[in-house]
Amino acid sequence: MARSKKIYDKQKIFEISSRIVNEEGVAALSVRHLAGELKVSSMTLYNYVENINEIKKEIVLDGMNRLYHRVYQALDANQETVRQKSAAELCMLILREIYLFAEDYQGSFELMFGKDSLEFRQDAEMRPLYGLFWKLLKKTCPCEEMEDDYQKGCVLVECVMCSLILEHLQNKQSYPQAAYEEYLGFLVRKLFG
Amino acid sequence: MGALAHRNFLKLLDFRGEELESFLPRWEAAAEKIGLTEKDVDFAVQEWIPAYWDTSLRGVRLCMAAYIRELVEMCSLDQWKKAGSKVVYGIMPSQPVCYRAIKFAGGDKVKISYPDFLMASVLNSFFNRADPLMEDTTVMTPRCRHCGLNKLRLNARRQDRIVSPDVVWNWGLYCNEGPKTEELIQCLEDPKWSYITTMVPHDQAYGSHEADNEERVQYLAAQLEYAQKKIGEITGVPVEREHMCQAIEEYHSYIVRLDYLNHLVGNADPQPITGNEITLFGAPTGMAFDTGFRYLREALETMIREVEARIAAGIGVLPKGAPKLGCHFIPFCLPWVDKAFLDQGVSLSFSTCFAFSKEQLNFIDCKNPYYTVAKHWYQGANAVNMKDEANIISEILKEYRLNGMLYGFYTFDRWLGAHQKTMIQMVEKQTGIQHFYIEGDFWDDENYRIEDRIRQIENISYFLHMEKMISI
Repeated sequence: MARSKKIYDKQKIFEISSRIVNEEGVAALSVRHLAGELKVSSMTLYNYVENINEIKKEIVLDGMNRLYHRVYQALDANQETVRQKSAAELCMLILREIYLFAEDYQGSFELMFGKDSLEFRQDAEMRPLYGLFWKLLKKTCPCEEMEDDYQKGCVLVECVMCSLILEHLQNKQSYPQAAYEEYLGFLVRKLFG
Repeated sequence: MGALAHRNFLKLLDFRGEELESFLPRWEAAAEKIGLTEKDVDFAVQEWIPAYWDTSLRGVRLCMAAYIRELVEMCSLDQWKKAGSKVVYGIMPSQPVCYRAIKFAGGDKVKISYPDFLMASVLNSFFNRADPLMEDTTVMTPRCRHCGLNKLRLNARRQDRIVSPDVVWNWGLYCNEGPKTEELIQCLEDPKWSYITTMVPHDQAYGSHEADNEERVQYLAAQLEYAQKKIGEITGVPVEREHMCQAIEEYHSYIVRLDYLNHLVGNADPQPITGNEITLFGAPTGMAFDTGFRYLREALETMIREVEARIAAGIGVLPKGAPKLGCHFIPFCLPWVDKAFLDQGVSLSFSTCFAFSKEQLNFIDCKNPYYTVAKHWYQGANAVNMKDEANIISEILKEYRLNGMLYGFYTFDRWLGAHQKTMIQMVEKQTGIQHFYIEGDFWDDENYRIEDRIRQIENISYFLHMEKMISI
């Protein structure tokens, strides 16, 4: 008797993948595990997606979507801060949202900003979505001469942010939100103060 | 429903009175020929067209009608052939001026058509029904991600929806999949499918402005003249210098007005019409219509007047201040892309591949028409070395008020698929305009549907809104 196959669309595959990554961790994501969850063979899965990297990229796109939505809403809700064009204030606002996002979607954050992220940073679709700090804060730069300093400052903030959050998520060092904001607040004031 | 669906469709496109009555049977026959059922036409009238096209604009209705007139002409080519006319097909990208010159020389002794580009545009944009021609998997299998236009040309011939031409003037000015497809059709499907190919080598010095390379321009001019002569021998209609000049002048007068429309729409805030709508007027500059520019020109002039009126009244497709994205080629064959951006409060405003460089707009030399056509090709950004292309596009972008640029939808393409990903980084560096990219297939959304792409569209839109919020 022919084996009955339950056919899913791509979106269902990505949804389940995202759940695995965020509930069980990035390391738990494999074609075998996913096929088991979907109750299909690994080969069947390849009829829908090219490889595991396509799935990871979709999780990152989805993560970016949730993160951007969050940052956008925060900016919209803080029009006064936005109007003042204070790089430091805006920076802290974005940093706070990223931290809260990382707590809700740990696996997605690890894929987006962890060691695997280099691949996505080089991807034509994803590349413009990275480097959010500089891309937004350059509009607050007081003069052209300071742009280089601002850009370097933004890179530094993003690096420190990633390190603190990843260490926190991986239980290497605990950085509760208050501590995270204290450390980054110190750095941000020094850079954009 | 029946004939009523077809009648309603034509009425929607401003066919009236005697013209409607005489055109209706021709349209019904054409629809049947290309596989459109009454149900498909009714769906288009009731749902698809109202969702993606603003037919309250007369310019839009007339332009859609111009495509339909051309499609009907294409579907009657078998009758023209029986009556003794010769049929010449073209593929894009090419220099459509050369085909119009054939028409000026031969009138109805020669019929011209770009069957794949035309069918892809009409079936996707107005009916969402290109899939029967895309999904014929006998020769080009979907997973191989062939160019949709090539698939469509092959499958249309396989399914006997288009006639065998007397000759295809084929171009390998970008890539060589087009010419290979002709060979494939001839070998596997239709031994009578004959073709002449115009190709150029792509061995140019990086960064050189190819239009300034006289040897290169003259080489292409000679290739064009040679192909035109060969086609003249096949059709029995020689193309003379004056026919080429007539075609150049006709084309030039259209692109000058199109450029004006591009600037109106690209710089207006709020933007008066959608990206899909402006692309309707741009796409015919990439193909030649047997029906010529007569109907298109009337549509374009009407559209310009309507756009001017909307600008004066401050009417836009989005509120004033909404972010604007330029594109390489607004994917009007996937009209949901433009709609999805609009739903996110972002408008697609113009296509660089239908925005002409100052050099192109200012150069006509009818003493040597083939030289003019060749020069025009290299003065544009479409098929020159990467740095040259980036420089030309950067110059064009200076003339528009944009918040970003959108590339992509050519993931399948042997040239653009890889080329654009690097090229846009160069333009971004030169102009400071953020460039975005969306993987997709311009002609066939089987592998990239709206649900797969909506998150990236939202991401780009969020980014633009945040940037705009901070800029104000």
